[in-house]
Amino acid sequence: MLALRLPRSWSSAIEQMRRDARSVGRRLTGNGPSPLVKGVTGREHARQSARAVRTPDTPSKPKVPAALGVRASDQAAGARGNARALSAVRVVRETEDAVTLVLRDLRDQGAKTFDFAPGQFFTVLTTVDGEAVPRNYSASNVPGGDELHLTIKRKAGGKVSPLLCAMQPGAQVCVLGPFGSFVVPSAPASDASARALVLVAGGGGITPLASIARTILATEPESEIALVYANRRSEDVILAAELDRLVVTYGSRLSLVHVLEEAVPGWVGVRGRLDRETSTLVLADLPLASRPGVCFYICGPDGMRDEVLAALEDRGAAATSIFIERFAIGPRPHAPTPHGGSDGNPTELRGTEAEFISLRFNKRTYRANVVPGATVLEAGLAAGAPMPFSCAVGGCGACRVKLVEGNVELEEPNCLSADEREAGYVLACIGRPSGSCVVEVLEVE
Amino acid sequence: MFGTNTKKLTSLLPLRMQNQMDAWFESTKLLLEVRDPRVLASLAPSGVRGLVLQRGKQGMPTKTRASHSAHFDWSYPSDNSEMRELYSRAKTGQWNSDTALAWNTSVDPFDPATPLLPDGFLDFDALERHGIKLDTKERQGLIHSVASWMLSQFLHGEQGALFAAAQVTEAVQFFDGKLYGATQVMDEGRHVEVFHRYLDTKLEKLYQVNDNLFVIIDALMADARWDMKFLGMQIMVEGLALGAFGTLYKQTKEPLLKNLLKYIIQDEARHVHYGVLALRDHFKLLTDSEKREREDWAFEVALLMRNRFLAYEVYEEWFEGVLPRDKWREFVTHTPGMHEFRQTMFSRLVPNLREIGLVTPRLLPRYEKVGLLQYMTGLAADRLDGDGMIAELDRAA
Repeated sequence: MLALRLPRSWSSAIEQMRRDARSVGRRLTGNGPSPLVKGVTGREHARQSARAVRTPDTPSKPKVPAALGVRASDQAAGARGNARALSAVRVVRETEDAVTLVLRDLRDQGAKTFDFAPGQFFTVLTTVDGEAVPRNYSASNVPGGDELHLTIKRKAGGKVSPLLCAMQPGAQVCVLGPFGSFVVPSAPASDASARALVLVAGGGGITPLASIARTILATEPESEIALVYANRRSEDVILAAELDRLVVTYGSRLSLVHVLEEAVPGWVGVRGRLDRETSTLVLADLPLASRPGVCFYICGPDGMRDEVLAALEDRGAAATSIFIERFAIGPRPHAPTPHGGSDGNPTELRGTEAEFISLRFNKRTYRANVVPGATVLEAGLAAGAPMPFSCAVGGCGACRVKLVEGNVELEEPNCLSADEREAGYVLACIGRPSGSCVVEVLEVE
Repeated sequence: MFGTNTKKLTSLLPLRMQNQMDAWFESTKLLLEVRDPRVLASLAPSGVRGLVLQRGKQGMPTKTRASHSAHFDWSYPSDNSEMRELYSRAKTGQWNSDTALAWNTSVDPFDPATPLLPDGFLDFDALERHGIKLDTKERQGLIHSVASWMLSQFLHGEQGALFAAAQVTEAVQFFDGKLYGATQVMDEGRHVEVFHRYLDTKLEKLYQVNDNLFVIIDALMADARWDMKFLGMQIMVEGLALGAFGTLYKQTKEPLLKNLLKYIIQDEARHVHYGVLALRDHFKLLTDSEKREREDWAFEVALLMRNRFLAYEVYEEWFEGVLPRDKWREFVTHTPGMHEFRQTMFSRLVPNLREIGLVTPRLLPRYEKVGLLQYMTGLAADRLDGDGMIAELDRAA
């Protein structure tokens, strides 16, 4: 039988016609709509009681005052803080131990778009032994389409990555996000033509940089990119075919330099580990690295990152031109964390020690480590706490939590009122603990 | 056409169906009385959606297609000093509903010391003459319903005003008007907030949107012409609201509601003034044909407005099945409170229509026929400010 699928606008119109017909039909049979949206009818009320005194300012419903807690509308609006159940429409085997999950939002018939900044990550919630375990994975594709590509490398002994790498098309995952500030700042139109980026990736660190490279090359015709990608063997190169395609497509605008520790005989690229010395040589060979205004984006294992940082320091690269993404949330002393400054220029925060944070929710307490620069929200989600949030930029108040002990520094400006500040509330999404602290997560109905 | 013969025709039907036929005949009659075919073409689709299909009462959010153009001006001209002054006044006149109003006030709708509406608001003797006798509790309950119904319609009107103000801000040709319009959007949002909060937490009741009000809002939202949106929202809806709020302010003894209305009246006075400023000169530039269309449109919308206050939703709640709909119409039309309500509302509206040049000798007989001519001598909004209006209402109370 031929299945006829109507355009969505037609379906809405037909549904409206049905409602209209029902409305007319009900009225014809003397069963019109109730005149009331809320409340009991006057006759019923008069019968029940003549006195219905409200106590002073009786709260209408929520335990959390609407003005202070999560707005129902925020949660329902599909804002970026909300979990979305996504379907894997394809699973691309990148290497022996890495896959790209091609995800789509297939709810309510018709695909939805994924809006994120290239470089941002999503939190995948996976149930392991009955417990929701969150893990962060960067998007590797261009934003704005109806697909989200999460490239995942299997971690030996890991709880989640082996499960995700074994996923089959049709399976579903629960995804939160996007999050993270490892993004390319918007350049003023006049400067867009002069943008020069050097991206340095190690292993699975290619994912956010692939998204940045794909997006910048596709949307800024004058921008140029050099990508240095370090791996142990050629078989470990993730997104290899896609990177080759980018080189063919964009020619001289993309310089791709592979660095392999265990190169096969005949390999003409760079050999060895991407340490300080190799980094110095590679960067010296890249004309783009000496271009005025060049920015460096680094994502990879700790060791590689520190070596590249040292080489950049040797070259006299300004700290404000260096952006770093960490692989995972966890205690990592001296880990520098980049953030966009209020003037739109990148600045670097160099932290010291990881802080401990306790998040109380109902009668349960979640303990988490917060690396320098990480927010209460990031730490809370990583610890599996049921953190409410929505805009993630301090604008909506949905992630408001109460600070019980310690100190949390907030980015300004934000939407907290003077009364909320006075009462000890902080916004988890833009709050960074400056010491160990305890916060109380508000219950939302 | 829909008089005695219709009654004979429908008298064999059950009362509920008779009422339904009465509602449809009333709507059809209203639309057929529109003389200007352009006005009929502009109002008829909304009339069908509101009066026949009752889109506002289908229990679903309503989607209305808008087709106006956003008017950008990249030179940011200072093009209307009166609007600039109004913008300045609106900025300093902003108020925070959380702190300005005593929300901890205990509201007892049945406390005789602080009645929502005065005792004589409804003529219960007239109801008895129709065979309906209410005891004291039921009378209090009916007053509570009428007050809740009025405030519910104000709330729905404010939602329309919120969206229309946003559209008008996009579409208006004056840049100073756009700046002012932004403050009105904020004002309307606040009005929606306070009316809903009062209904939700104090009266615990919310009525469906009235069909006539739905028609007006639907027509305004769908009309692509900026001056029609202005005329409809700033002059008709806001003008009438100003009158309605004034009446309620004068009559209620409930302190929180009184204070809430006092704040809102200050805002509304600015809104109507804005409409008069924007349209007064604009209408002088229209062709005779265009002006005639607007004159007729304003008159027809005034009639819809008048019918909006027949409180059929309260009738359906209390008396459907025990009192014919036309008897209720007669009762509401003549009951003292509602009579005064209409007096004050139209005493604000008609002078504004006169001020912008839409009550011409051609239309005077029609205004006279429906009893609106008596309001022609009042002060227009550009001569009144919020403080003056409150003082006048306080004197009259």
